[in-house]
Parts: sequence; C-alpha cells; structure tokens
Amino acid sequence: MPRAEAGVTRAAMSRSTERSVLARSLLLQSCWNQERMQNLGFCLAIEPWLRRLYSGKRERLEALSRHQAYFNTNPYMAPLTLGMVCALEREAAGAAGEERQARFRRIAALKVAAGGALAGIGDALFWGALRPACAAAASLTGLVLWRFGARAAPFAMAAVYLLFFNAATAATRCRGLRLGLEWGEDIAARMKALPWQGWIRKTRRAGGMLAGALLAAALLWAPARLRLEGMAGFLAYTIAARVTGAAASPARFYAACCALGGLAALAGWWR
Amino acid sequence: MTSLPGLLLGALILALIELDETAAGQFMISRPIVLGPLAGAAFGDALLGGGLGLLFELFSLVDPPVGGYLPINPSVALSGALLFSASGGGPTPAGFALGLVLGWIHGLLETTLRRRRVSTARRAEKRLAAGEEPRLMIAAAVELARQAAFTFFLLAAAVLVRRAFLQGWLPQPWWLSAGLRAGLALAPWIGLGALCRALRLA
Repeated sequence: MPRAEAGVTRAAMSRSTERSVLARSLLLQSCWNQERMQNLGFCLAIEPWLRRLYSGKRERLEALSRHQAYFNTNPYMAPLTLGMVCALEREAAGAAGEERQARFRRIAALKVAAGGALAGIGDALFWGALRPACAAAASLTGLVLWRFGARAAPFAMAAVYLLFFNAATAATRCRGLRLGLEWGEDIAARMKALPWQGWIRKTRRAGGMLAGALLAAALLWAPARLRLEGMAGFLAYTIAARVTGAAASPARFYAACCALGGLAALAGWWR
Repeated sequence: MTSLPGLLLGALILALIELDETAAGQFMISRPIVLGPLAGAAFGDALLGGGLGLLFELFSLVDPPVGGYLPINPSVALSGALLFSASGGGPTPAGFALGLVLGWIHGLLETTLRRRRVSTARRAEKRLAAGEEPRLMIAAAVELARQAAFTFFLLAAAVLVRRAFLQGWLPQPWWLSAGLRAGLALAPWIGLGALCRALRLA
C-alpha cells in the first residue's frame, strides 16, 4: 500500500524488484576493495529497492550513502542480509524524525552483525563442507566412469559438481532474500533455530565417505608401481600438513617433490 | 583452436569465465573440475582437461578465498596449463607447474587490484556527498573489465611461453624435466591428501 510522505513511498517488494535485487547481488564482489570490502556491491544490489522505496532523489542518495560503510559476508548468504536490510529500510522509511534516525543507526549495526555471523556459517557450510564434498562426488564419478571406458567421464564429473553445488547455493540465494524480507530483525533468532552445525557435519560426513571411496578406488586401480609411490606421497603430505598446519599447502608440497625429484635425477636415482 | 589466434581467443574466453571465480556470480563454472573438461574439449583433449582440472581442484580445496585472502587462483592455473600443454603444446608436467605459477601471480595481481578499488569506493562516496548518482553499475563493469583484461594478459603469457617452448627458445634441462615429472606423478596423491584435509579426515 503506497504512502506518499516527503519523497518516501512505503511499498511492498514486487517480483521484478526482487529479481533485480537478486540479480545484482551476483555482482556483490565485483568491486571488492581492501577498505570496506563488499560495500559497493551491497549498494549496487539494494539500489532497485531504494529506488522503489524513496521516490525523491535526495532521500535515495542519502540512503545509498548510509550503505557505503564496511560490509562483508559469504556471497551465498548475502541475499539473507539483503532481505533483512530491505525489510528494515521499509520500516525506517515509514517512520519520522528521531525514530527514523534511530532506525537507520540500528540498520547499520544489524547489517554488519548479520553479515559477519552469516559469513561464518556460509564459509563453513559452502567452502568448508559442500565444496570438498562435491569435489569428492565428482572425482569419484569421473574415476569410475573412466575406469569402465566411458568417453564422457570428464563431462559427467563436471556435471555432477555443478549440479550438486548449484542446487544448494541457488536454493539458499533465492530463498534467502524472501526469508530475510519475511524475518527482518528476527533474523538472528530464526537463524539460531536452524540446525546449521548438523548440516555442516552431515555434509562433511558424506564428503568423507566419498573421499574414502575415492582413495580406495585410486589405490585399487593405480598401476602396482605407482601404488607404493602414491601411498608414500599421500602419507607424507598428510603428516606434513598435520605437523606444519597451513604452511603445508599442496602447491608447496608439490614444489618440494619437484625439487627432490630434480635432485634425485642429478644424483642418478631417478630418470 | 590451436593456432595462435585460436589460442588467444581461448585465453580471452577463459579470462571472462575466470570472473566467476570470485568477482561475479560464483556459479562454479570457473572451477577447474568443471572448466577443465569443457576447455580441454575446446582445445581437442577433454581427457587432459579433465585430468588437469581434477588436480587443480583438489589442490585448491584447502585454501578457499575467504575475506581478503586470495590463494593461487585455480581457474587461471588450469587455463594457463591447458593453453601451454593442450594439443601438441609443451609437456604436461611443465604445463602443470606453469599453471601454478600463473595462478599465484594472479592472486598477487588481484590483491593489488583490490587495493586500487579503494579509490573507486571513495569516488562513489564523493559523488553521493555531492548529490550525484554514484554510477555503481558502471563502476562494477569497469572493475570486471579491468580484472578480465589482466587475466587475459596473464593467459596470453602462457600462449607465448608455449610458442617459445615449441620453437626451442627455452632451455629444457633434463634434471628439471625429471623433477617436474616426479612432482606430477605425486600430484594426484597430494591432491587426495588435500581433499582429506579439507574434510578434516586427516
């Protein structure tokens, strides 16, 4: 129900605005900068909603100025924060005077807090659990199909990865904006009620089982000569990673193997 | 697609796809495990693309680009390796190593670009303070174009290294070739170790 009040329109988010906000949220990281991280991306995404909310140019530009502050979150969780901020902006636009200013301050604080909390969940779920699990599923599919002579094995591997990962992230993105709009300020309590840790654990467990099967298949189907070398390489990397932590990146370990291989060749132990 | 113009066109397309890695969309089209088979097929060797893609994917699992941290860019690494090695190019072990180096350089360059973008943010802020439109969509388009351009130049370097290698202008010490072969032989197992580490199994 639109309500004209000094350049302010209190409107519901239409489907087209929702689509526009969601599409622009895909560019959240396009202007990622060291100082305020995703601030410009956030402004870009919320702009269609502010344009609808504030019919006056001055109010709209003021609203955009407020969103120039630091912001950073996981890109797949960003629509949730965006939805929440959109809902709060709508409420603030309807308020007047001191109450309105207080609401603006609250939006700024809640935006940063929600962004940080959702980044923690999103990074653990999507980067820490889902991505390795999808990689394990795709690799196992590719290896099994390749072993049985399927020419489409590499493409099946790509399809499995894309399908599993995007099914989860697309659902989170699309539902996220609506849930954020619906929940508004209640987002923290609502998010707390969801079993995120359980989902992360289950995804990791599924990924772990697939990785175990992948390792077994690789050992079983590798040529006998490579089996011993491979197992030694696997164990050496695993031990190095345990001992040195983050310093033992796969690339560094690979570089060390190349150097040792070169030295062994110079010494005449390897050709 | 293995002539010089074909390879450069491939580098351009791969540079545009790389934007999906961190800058736009993040639909995972740029992930090596997805891009490898597709780019490999375009260069005439889907199996090589799939194999290299799988290795770079496993290598990148323990190092996600979280916050301001940019690790070796796996998409650039794969693209560089394929542009060097695909369809009668240089040897795959050298291509894999070159890919990792290019991915590492890309991480450094992107960090510099992100530092430079502070001025873009300040410019938008100044425009807003002056009551002007911040032109956010234009700013985003310029930043994406800038990133795609420097990725393209980096990938074009892989094409030039390939040409130099095939013309015999690059020295190929036998001990270096042996070392790179040893590294590539162990790479799948290191990758499996990285997968187990990413899933907190090891």
